[in-house]
Amino acid sequence: MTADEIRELYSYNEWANKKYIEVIQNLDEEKYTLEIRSSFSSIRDTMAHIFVSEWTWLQRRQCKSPSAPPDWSVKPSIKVLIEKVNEIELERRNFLSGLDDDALQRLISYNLLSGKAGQNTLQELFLHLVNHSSYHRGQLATLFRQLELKPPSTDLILFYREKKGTV
Amino acid sequence: MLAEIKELSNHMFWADGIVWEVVLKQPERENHTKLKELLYHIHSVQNAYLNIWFNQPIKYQDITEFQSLNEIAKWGLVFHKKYKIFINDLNEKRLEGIIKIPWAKHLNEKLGKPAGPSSLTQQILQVVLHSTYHRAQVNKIIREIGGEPPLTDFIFWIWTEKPEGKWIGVNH
Repeated sequence: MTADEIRELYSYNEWANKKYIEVIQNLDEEKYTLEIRSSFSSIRDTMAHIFVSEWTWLQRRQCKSPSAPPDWSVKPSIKVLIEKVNEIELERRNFLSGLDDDALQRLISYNLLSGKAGQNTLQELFLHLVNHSSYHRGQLATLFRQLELKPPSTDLILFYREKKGTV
Repeated sequence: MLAEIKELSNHMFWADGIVWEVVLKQPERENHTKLKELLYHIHSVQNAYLNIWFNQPIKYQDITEFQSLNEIAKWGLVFHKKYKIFINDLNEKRLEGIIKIPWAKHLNEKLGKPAGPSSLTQQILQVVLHSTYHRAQVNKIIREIGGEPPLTDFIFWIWTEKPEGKWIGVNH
């Protein structure tokens, strides 16, 4: 796998997240926070989980292991969430821009929030996160439908088509 | 990219299998239309792409052809067995090849523009992430009907030394 392929996957991830951000920008607070049975019980908590995970794994990739989730992750308002997403994406883009193919095989040591130590290649950490965010966007889509909102299409194949200017 | 494609595919096999294992233990499973539709959709898309990659006509199977969830699970397992053969036979050059999607014509009409080309790598990644996305929705239903959804994270699979998919509970 090459650094360019990772950059493309993260370009997709950003594109897919943005589609959800665009919808919640105009969402009323009640729908944003309404509790529904899911692993994270509202649109707010599911989105917070996606972006806290993106932030946490980004820190670990840079050999920093947070010992606790950031304060903003607890019941973030739509405004705060969007601000944090923008910050995470900027930090990640900077990190990705300096990435080369060899770096992907580098072993990264980190601690989970529980304190348990882990070690994986940078590539494995990248693949995990893009898969993780796709998974929770799937939950978001269901939450959207339960609230009679139309979830955006975030298929990877659609991203490729859009990128090539054919959609 | 070949090694990573194989890795992601092995994870998909394992994750689909443990989700099925939990689904098939749920007493309410056969009465849940949405659960059936989602599981059918995951394997339907996997099968459709595999037909394309084998350069075969897409063999469409309607959801009504499956009398039980176990039949869908068996269909999914057959997909994974064929897919494994396909993946094991791949090389880097083939992964870069552009593969035409038969439903592009339909897309062109719908969008009013030609659908862009995609490589085999891109299509495999689409299938992997598409399966992950809908697996989350299946897990949400498992929780709603009183079950405990399995953890299917890619990193968890790596931490547990990349176990082989077992598909426990699927009757052949």
